[in-house]
Amino acid sequence: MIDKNKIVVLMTALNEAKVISNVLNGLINSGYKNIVLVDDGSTDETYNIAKRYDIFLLRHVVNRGKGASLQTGTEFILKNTNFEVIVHFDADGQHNPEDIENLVRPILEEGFDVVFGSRFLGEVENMPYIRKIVLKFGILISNFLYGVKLTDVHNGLRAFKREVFKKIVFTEDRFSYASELLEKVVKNGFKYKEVPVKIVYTEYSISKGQKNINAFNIFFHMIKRRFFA
Amino acid sequence: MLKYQIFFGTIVLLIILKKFFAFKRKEIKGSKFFLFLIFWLSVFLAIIFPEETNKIARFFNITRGADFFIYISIMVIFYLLFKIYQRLENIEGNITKIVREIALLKKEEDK
Repeated sequence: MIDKNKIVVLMTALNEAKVISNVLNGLINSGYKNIVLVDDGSTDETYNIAKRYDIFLLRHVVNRGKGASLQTGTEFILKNTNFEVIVHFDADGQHNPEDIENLVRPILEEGFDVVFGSRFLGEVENMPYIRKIVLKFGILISNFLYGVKLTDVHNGLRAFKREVFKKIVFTEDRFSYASELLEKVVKNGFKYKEVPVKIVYTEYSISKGQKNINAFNIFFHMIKRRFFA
Repeated sequence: MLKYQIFFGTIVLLIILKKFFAFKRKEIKGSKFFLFLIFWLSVFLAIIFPEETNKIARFFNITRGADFFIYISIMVIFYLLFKIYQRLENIEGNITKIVREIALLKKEEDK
């Protein structure tokens, strides 16, 4: 058993009022009581619902994107807490709290700095076919650009040793932060691995998640960062 | 002088005058006004002496002066687009910093 008191779960939420309670209850019932939630300018009841929980709750007054929110949460954690491991967890209900233990163990027991969750090594339910093609294409490009051999790049479920964020600062505000993260993990020589995780796509999560068309935007940012930054 | 030369020539002169008054009011820097003046005076001269632009174009192995100006214009437009994109990225980054600062300060206050 891992010591869950050493772990903090970092989530970002944008208009997740329908599911945020379930997600928070799921984490808390699984023993993950240290939660930092950054509300990224939600216009629904997400913030008010989250306020009822005993968690660290921060709020962006206007929407700034997933990368920007993760950076805000990270800065809060580094400045105000001593947790050893930071876990990124999506607020739309796609992730399974049971997977966190497998993500964290390599950090606490095997000396890894970063552990990526991979839906393609694990299980994935109800993934739209077009999403699978887009993701696979993105993985090919990322592996080629950064010289890595990963099976899943844009999965929001991952864990980090706290010290990693002394060297990694997200400057990409939107979804292209994931490529930036991979680039900086490789550049800084952090020890990383992938572990299998389960992702469940629901009608809700598909409607809330990244649009496939975003892939072009992410690709543009990857090229910009790789060759012009 | 042809009608189009009078029409476009007047517009260019008005643009130069407008910037000149802005420069007098110290709203723009001298160096910026100088670059602006060179650009618009070149445009003015090209309107008044269109045959001369052919000579410049031929120097660069381009047949017509008008083509030469189109190429130059495309380059300038791309450069400006790039500058605007860069400026927009900077502004976006600054907004994020402000929003983050507010979020962290608010959390401090709530303690």
